[in-house]
Amino acid sequence: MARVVVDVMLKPEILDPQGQAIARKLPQLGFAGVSAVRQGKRFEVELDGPADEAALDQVRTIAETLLANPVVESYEVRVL
Amino acid sequence: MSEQRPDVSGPDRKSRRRRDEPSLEWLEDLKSDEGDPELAPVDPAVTEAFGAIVEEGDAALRRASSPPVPAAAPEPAGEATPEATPTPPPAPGLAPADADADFVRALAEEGALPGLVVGVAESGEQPAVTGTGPQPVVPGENTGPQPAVTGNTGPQPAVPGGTGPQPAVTGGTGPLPAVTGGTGPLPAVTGGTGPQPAVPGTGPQPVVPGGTGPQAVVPGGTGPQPAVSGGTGPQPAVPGGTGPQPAVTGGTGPQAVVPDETGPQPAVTGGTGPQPAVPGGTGPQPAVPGGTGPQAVVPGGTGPQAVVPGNTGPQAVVTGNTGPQPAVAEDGAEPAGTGEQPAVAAAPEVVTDTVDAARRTPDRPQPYAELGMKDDEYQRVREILGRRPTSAELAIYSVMWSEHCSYKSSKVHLRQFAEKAPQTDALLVGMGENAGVVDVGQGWAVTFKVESHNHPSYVEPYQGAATGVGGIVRDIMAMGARPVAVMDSLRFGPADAPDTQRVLPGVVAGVGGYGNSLGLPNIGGETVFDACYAQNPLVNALCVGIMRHDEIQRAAAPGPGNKVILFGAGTGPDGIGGASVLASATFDDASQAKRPSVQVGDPFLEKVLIECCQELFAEDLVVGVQDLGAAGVSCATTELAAAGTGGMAVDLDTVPLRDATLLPEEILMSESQERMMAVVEPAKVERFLEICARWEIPATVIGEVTDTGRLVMTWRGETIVDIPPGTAADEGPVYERPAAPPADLGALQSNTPGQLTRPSNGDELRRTVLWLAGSPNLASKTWITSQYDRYVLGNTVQAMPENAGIVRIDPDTGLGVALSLDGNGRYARLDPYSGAQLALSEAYRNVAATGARPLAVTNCLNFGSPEDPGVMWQFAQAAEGLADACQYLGTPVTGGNVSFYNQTGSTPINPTPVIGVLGVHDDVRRRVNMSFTSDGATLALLGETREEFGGSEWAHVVYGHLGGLPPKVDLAAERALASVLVAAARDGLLTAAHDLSDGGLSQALVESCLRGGLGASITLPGDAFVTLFSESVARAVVAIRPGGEARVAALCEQFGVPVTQLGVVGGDELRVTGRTAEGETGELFAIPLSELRETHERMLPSYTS
Amino acid sequence: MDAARVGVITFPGSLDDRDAARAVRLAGAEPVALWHADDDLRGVDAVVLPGGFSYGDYLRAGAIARFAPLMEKLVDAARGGLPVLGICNGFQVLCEAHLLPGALLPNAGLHFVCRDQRLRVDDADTAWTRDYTAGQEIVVPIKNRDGRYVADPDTLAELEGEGRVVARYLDLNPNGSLNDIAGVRNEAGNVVGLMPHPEHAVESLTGPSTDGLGFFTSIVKRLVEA
Repeated sequence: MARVVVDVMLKPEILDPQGQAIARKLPQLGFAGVSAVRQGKRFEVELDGPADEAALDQVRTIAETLLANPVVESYEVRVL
Repeated sequence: MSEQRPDVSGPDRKSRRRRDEPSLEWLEDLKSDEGDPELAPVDPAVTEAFGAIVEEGDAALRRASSPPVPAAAPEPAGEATPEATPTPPPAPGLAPADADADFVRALAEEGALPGLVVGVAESGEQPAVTGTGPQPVVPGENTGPQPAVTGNTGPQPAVPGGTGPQPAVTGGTGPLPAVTGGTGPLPAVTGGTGPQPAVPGTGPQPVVPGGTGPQAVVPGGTGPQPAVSGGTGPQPAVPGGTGPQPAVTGGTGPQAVVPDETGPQPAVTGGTGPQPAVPGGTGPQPAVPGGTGPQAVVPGGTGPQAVVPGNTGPQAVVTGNTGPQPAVAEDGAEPAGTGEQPAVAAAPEVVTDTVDAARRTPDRPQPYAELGMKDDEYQRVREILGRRPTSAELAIYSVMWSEHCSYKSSKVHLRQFAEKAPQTDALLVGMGENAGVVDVGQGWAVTFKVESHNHPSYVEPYQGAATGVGGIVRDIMAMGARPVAVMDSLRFGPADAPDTQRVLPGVVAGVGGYGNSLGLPNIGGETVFDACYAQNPLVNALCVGIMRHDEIQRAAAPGPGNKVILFGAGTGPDGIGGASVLASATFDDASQAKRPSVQVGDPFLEKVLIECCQELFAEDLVVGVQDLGAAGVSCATTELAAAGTGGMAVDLDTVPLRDATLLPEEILMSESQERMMAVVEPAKVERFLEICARWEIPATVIGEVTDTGRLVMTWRGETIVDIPPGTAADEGPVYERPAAPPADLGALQSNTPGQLTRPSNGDELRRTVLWLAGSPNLASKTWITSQYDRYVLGNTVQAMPENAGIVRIDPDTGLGVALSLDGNGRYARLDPYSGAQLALSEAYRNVAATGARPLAVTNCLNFGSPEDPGVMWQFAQAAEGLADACQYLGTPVTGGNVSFYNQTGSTPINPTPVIGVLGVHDDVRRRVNMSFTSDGATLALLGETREEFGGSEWAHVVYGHLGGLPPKVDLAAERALASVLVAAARDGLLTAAHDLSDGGLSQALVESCLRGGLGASITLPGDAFVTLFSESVARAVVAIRPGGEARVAALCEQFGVPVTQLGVVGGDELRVTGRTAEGETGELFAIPLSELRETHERMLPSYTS
Repeated sequence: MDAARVGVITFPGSLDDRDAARAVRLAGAEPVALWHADDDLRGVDAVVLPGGFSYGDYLRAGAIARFAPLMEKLVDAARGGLPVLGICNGFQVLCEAHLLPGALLPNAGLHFVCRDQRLRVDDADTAWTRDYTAGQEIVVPIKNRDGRYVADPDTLAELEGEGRVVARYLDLNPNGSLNDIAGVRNEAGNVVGLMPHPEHAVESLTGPSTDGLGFFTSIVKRLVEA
């Protein structure tokens, strides 16, 4: 029973006010040295079988079709 | 529903999971400490000394019976010298034969605690302190261990982190303050000191001898705790990660649940009574000696259990995957041999506390105190049932009889609402149901109610507020109504306080997030800032719904044979025990440990539930319905059963669960959101389930109505609940708590605002107008209210910041309702009887100002602890004041909510009754708003102004003053004013009307000018300051439609309302002429609207992108 | 002559469906309630995708509704020229379904915003905006959390170059939308997406104006003429 992670992030050129709000907050909380934060989503997909190439392909399709909006987001798939 | 509480179960429920692996793999984990995540948080040095510690624990246990001797007092030196005569300390190394010193030395010798050296003088060590009373706080960092404190010094102040181990505290000193993390192990506490506070991250603690009572929770990461000797009573739960715990000796009573990952537990000696369940993953448990009675079930994954000696009575079933069990010996003989299986139940059965078991084991001790029940309440349950309750029954009674669900402290006072209820045909459903219902004419009925969700909103502002909205909306749904609008009354600490900046945005986002997603417009409310709410924010949410007269539903279960259906979200571990435990407690340090998750709401599911219910009601599929709020299934079943034919049979196995490991007690107490319960005739069940399926809402038949007069519940085929439901739902305890005016009330009332310096000229008056308009309570709340959808459903005629929110019910006739939600904690603090009446007066006045006829009342009574006689007195006074005023005005209380325990420590919030008034517009097109939009309209002041500043915004904002008496109540004048306003609106005589309340005439003029975008030229009658800022009741400022002046004057004469010409609408300034106290007359000041707007909108940011 | 029939699709979580129906009725057409799980558009002449929180906005606003069975039929019909108006959540669904370019992201201010918003109608030629004149300024409520319109530079250039921006924010951009874009249309002009809620500006009693009615009277006229 394999687990695959899909990380979805806004494309770099898209403004991320949530990430900016977080980055602004950090110095107020006493954390220095952080120049930027971008916020994304992480999906954990549990497969019935092993994470072979066919399964990973399917996960990539799932990512493209549903988990990410390809207009503004990009994704990465990796096996846990 | 009542207020929902956060999950307070000590162990993290999420960590209870079933092991899927075969039984003996845990052994591999346990053998090696390396990489064991449970030991990671502990200082590795301590981990290495684990073996020594366990041995020392045993040794300490053996020595615990010897009389303790005060520990060595280190040499005096360093900072924060307490005021005491130092006694000459014994030389280091000559420490007395004392458990703690040995123990600490053992640690030191093991090198377990770097930096710890016993008996060596370090800078900062303090001389011994005897009999001098509490010592001052020892400042942080590196002051080193503190000297011994001998008897009768009383509780000691907190020792901050980094001070290292503390010396012994001898008996008679009472509980010690919390020790912050990093201080290392504490010395032994001798008997008689009472319970010790929680010790965070300090490493293993020394032995606690008998007589100290239960010890505080040990937070995770502290490593194994030393033995607790007999007589200390049950010990609190040990959270995960602390490793195996030492033996508990006899006489301590049952011990709390041991959470996962603690490893094997030591032996329990005889006389301790049955021990609670050991959850999976803890490994084999040691032998239970004779005389302890039957032990709870050992779940799978724990490995073989030790021999059970004779005389323990039948043992619980051992579930699968535990491996071979030794035989039960009759006489202590050797077990039959490893590998041999005695009779072990095949299926993973959980041994439940059944009714039969309860009959057979009448003397089994039960944790009713931990569930918040008192001794006499527990005895009463035993009398009702004629036996001890099962644990499921105990769960039901404890939660249904909690303050929160049973209103035991408030019932005697709330009775007045029914006793003094004014006669009115408009009341279709009175108090006692989920919400009251009033007839608004044309065959329409309206239901409305306000409820609190205060404590959860402090813990988790977003979810606390969100689930508060969710809960009140479900109450309205349960009456058969379609919810059509919400309102919220919010109170926070000072606007600039850091914690307010934590709580406020979360609460507002939660109210908006849930209400907007449900598609309910937010049409009004209030936001108030006051220091007394700093750690006790108030979140009171109101919902209003509409239905036709014949669509009203009741929360009753009539008709034996009808089915009981639970529908909505699945049931999970949300808020288990919360209802009875946290709701009836105040916030203190220990509540930090109760911080974990509040219930998380799913507004999408509730929106779908609304639509589903509407279809179910429309097809007449339901004979009784109840929403699930506090006390979940317990409450819904007991209340439905009690209100119907009195009997119900429920099979708890059928309850759809989100978490399959829930025990039946937990299912009963779960406060999972978005659930409803319906009673359905058998022939209609299929259609009911079909509609739920269409909306993709889980729905399950969980039981049926009977005529036995008993609520009977089964679990795994056995009966675990068999009670008369009315005893839980209706016959809770009724307290008549002592009540007496707060000790400081006399002084407070004597401290009148009369001596406060008043503005004496035009400039000072001008400055005061602006000062008030920009102050937190009077400033614009657009930043908040623009986060709420006011338009959805398309029937919002008026919303904030208007006097009242107005929704249209019937687009053809224009029938609609107006609602206002108001409170004033400062008035009530000065005089709770008047304060409650003043809050009612304000809401009543606000509704009438729009032209609506006030009809009915809902209330949310927010008070401190009812155990404080001063608070109880305030409550009694407020309830009486409200009941009397409602009776006089002819507007009955239709329902409401009480929230007690709003206090941190011993200081309660100001008594804060929040009152909602509902009024009717026969035609909403005739409503009057507060905007000055008609250039040239005459402005008139209705009502009488007196010199009244007690509790006023002026005194509060300018001087921080609270004292004297609040404005005098005048209900006759309120009624007269309302009559004028309603008649004038009906006849179209007014272009604007604004009631006067906080901030008096000044604030009313500011708000109306800004809202309409037109200024005004005003000539103030009487003393300018008094006329501008007094907060006398029963007053309004109106803009009269040109030509209507004579008729308005006639109405005022008819109803006996004093009327004074004030000025005229127009221009772009607020220009004021009048007479100062010194007698000067003339133009006092002029403020451009732009300046007013900038000041008024500055405090909370206006929304900008 | 039979009244024009305008379908309004209800997804689980749709909130302004009834209000859209009311606006259709006020404009003189017959609203037809359509259910997301059906596979039949019931022969309507135009479709409105209303505002709300379909599927709770889970995953992303409109991301799940876009896969509803009825959406398949709708996409086909739209490509065939059926007039479609997506309001707020409806706009989000249309973008997710790629019937319109770009995407809607969380408001730049990170808060839900409800305000009476001044707009300028930039394209008065679509089936939904013919009753306005180009450049007309109107006041319509906007109320949403994820209203920031974004598109890549090429797409933006295309939209602007082809005059496919239907409406723009005036005075104040409430959500950070690129180029102050409040609404766009597809190439053919039959599909329009709009963030503000015209259905809440159709009665002076309950809205800031009646400026929103034009979106609905436009389609009625167009259908009646057709």
